[in-house]
Amino acid sequence: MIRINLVPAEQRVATRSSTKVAVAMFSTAAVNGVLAALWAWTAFGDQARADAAVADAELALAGLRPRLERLKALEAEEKEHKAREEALADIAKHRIAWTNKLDEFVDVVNAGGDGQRHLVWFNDLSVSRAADPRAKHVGELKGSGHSGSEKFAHVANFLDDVESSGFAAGFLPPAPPEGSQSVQDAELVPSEVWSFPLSMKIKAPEEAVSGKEPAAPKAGRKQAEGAR
Amino acid sequence: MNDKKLFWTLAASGALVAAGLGFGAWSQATSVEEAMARAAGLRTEVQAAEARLKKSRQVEDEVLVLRALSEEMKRVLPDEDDVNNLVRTLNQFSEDAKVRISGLKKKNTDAPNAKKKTVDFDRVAYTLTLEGDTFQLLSFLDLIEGHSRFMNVPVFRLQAARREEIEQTGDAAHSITLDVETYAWEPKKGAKPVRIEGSEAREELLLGAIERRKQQISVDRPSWRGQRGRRDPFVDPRVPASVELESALSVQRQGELVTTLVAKVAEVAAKSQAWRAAENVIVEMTARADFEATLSLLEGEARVLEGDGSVVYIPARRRLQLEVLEPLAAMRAQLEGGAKQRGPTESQLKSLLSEMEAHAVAGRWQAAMDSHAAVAQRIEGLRADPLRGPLVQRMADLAWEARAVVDFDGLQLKIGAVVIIEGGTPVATVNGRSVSAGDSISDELVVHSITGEEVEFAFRGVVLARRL
Repeated sequence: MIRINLVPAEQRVATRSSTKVAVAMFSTAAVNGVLAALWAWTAFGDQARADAAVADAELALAGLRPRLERLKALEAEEKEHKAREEALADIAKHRIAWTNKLDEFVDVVNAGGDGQRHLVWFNDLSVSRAADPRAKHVGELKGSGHSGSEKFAHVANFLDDVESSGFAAGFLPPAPPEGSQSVQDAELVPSEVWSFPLSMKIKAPEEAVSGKEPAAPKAGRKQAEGAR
Repeated sequence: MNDKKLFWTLAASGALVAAGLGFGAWSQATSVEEAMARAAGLRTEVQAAEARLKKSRQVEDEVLVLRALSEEMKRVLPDEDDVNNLVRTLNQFSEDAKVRISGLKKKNTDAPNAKKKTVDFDRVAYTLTLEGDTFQLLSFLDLIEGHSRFMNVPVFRLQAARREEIEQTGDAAHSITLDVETYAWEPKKGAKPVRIEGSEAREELLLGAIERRKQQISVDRPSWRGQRGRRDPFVDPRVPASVELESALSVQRQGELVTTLVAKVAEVAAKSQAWRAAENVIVEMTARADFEATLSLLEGEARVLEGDGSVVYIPARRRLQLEVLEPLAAMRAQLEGGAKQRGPTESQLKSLLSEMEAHAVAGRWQAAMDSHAAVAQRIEGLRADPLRGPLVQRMADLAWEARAVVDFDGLQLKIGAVVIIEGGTPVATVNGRSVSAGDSISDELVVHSITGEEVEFAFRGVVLARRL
């Protein structure tokens, strides 16, 4: 059958699209459809699950919060008490009980047996503290001593006794013996006297704790007793 | 529109829509990722919180222990300076230790150019200047370092007393300067303590831990046991080179001997005190006799020690003189000064007489005799005294009567029948013998009168009756 279109050309309606246009249209629709589906899947599936997970976690955390606040208050109270305890421990660590120390000092002085080993007395005794906290020692004990004997070895005997006694705990060893003979006094017995200084540095608390016990009596004691 | 234009229009619009949808899907995915990441983070937080909360019981236990220790810690390291109380405490210590404080100055404890304080406690320090011997200083330090409030002596200086001063006064008054410091805690203004369930029961379970921590925070206390016969290391122990003063005794032994006598002097002084504080004459007489006897013994011991030259160490000699010989002499003078009055006073005698009369009225004859016997020797010499003589006589008479009563009670008198005839002389049988008034039973015992109820006897001048 022959078809003749009598409608003028400018008024003719397209009876069908071209193939290219159709493909383009369907492709576009397909791609956009997939993308829309993907978006919907994400929005209504994964997002919902994620939101639910967040809500669960937040709820759990909110439930723990009051107990955490209580624990925080307990820890603050613990910290306050412990700070006082540590402060006391710190200041006590630096204290030297001079009652016991001087008592031991009196014992050492009296251990000379009225001159058999030594007869020692002191003009003065002083304890000072180091101003520099970085110094290896925290203070010093100093005294001006006298030994009532013509034998200077008695001074060494006394210093030996000091080093081996409980008095020396917490001190560095005393300065080596040195001295000078005082003017003789014939009206007194004994008449000859040696004057000597006693000087001992006080260890820092950490060193005192880790330090050794007072030295054992030295092997040379017997020799020193008779020597001049 | 032709096909080409349509195609491109479709393509372009399709691309735009695709781009928009793609962007939307991508941003949604990104949002999901963020949400998942946030959820993971929150889960991590929850796990960390749960792990932290597992330790809450330990923290509660620790807080309970620390609360139990807080009172102890506040005593050692209090919240307040309380400086006035500190000064009063130091003053009391000086009196107890017998040191003489001559200076007290508060130290500035702020470090120069100090910036913001890094510690939570304040230091309070005083510099003390005092005098005393070494053992008095040790007593003072013992009180300071043993106080319940933490106190520390960081520095001190001792200058020995001169030999001449010691010889003159007998006291080794060394010059001492020392710093005493203590601390005050500055508590933070925190929240109220947290309530812990079942805290009382849990504290009981934690008692062991509490006691261990108390031991740890307790500050070491000194163990001062006194002079124990040791010599002062700051006193020259040399003795004068005089021949007659040589002694074989050590300085320590000399000190011990003098210390022993000093203690005995204190005991005698206590007896002197008891004598002077006696409440009545009997106690006073007894106490005086005891005091006099002890004083005499001690005077003898002191004379021996002084005379045999054992004590040559100057401080010991001075102490013997000042704390033994002089107090003994004073007590002897006191005793003999009282004796010049020669016996008890009139009021004392009246008091004693009243006591004897009260015993007699109550029938306590032996007690009346004992009261007289306790003072008989001392009052015998007072008979010539116009005021006290009559009292002494009355006391002697009362004692005589009491003695008679007591001895009469001891007599074996068996009274048999009594016969009373009207108009006739009453007769009684005593120890199987018929007697009447005026008959003597023995040298001291005479029948005084006979009645229907009793027989009266005259015994040593006292009329006494025996009832039938």
